[in-house]
Amino acid sequence: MNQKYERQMKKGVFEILVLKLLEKEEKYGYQLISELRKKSDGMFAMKEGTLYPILYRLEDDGLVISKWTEAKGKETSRKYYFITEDGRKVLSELKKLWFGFEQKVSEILGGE
Amino acid sequence: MDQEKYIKRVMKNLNCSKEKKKSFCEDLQADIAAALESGETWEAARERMGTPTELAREFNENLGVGTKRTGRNKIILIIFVVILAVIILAIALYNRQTPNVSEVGSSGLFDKTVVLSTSKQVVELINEDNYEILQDQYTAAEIKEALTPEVMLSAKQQLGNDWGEFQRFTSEYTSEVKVSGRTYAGVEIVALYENRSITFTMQFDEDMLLTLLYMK
Repeated sequence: MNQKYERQMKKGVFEILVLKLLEKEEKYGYQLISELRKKSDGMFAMKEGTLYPILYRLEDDGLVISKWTEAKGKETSRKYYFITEDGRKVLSELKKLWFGFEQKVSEILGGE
Repeated sequence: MDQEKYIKRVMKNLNCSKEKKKSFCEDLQADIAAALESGETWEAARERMGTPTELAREFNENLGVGTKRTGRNKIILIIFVVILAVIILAIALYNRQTPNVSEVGSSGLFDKTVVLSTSKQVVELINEDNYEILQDQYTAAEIKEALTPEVMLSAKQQLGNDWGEFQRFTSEYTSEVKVSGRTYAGVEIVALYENRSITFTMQFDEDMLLTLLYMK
């Protein structure tokens, strides 16, 4: 299969997955990439070139905010991304949309 | 390639605002540092991220800024186009001012036979000292005033009073000259007389009228 189709399909869900990963606690970029890869068993191996444009868009739309931490001991300074109230609302709407979406797509794909 | 070079190359290929570029540079540095802290080697991290160009392309595409030419490339392209335009202009100007010589008839405005026979008629009129007809019927407006019978006679005398009887034409050469946007037919014809030979150089305009006559 042409990888272009797979990439295209995945692109559509990255925003909702990033928002979901930030729902419980703030995270930094590399953490988001590692967690997503782990949780999806490698299916969503997101690269920096994909993650950051998503984070910047979410930030521009006021759905996330970012804050740099001070360097602590061996740990270098990190930029944490936090979900905002608006971000939570959008996440809940997107979740509903996804379940409806997923159901209909499955119906169509499973049908005659 | 070390981290610093890698990031520099990524930045060079980004096509977004300075602000976003700065953010991505900082994020990428922090990201690589976090990866190394978590035990990933630099080689593995680099492999995972792809080449700097790949990473920048992915970033540009995902940010929706496309893979347009970078600012530096754009400047180089503009300079190149300007230089090319100057060269084309110079060539055009040079062609306009420098006579562009080709074979007679190549523009479709002249016929070699007509050019030769007309130039021979001019020589015959000079042989017969028939300068009125030459001035009236064979010369273009721009030299009509100057080519009076007196001028012609004096020019002829300067080449020796006694040419003797006309014998024959010994050589003929025709060409087409394009200069300043106008096309002319050029003729160099050598006539042999009893006592000497004379080379006639003529130039005709598109109406087959003389615009230049030279004898030596």
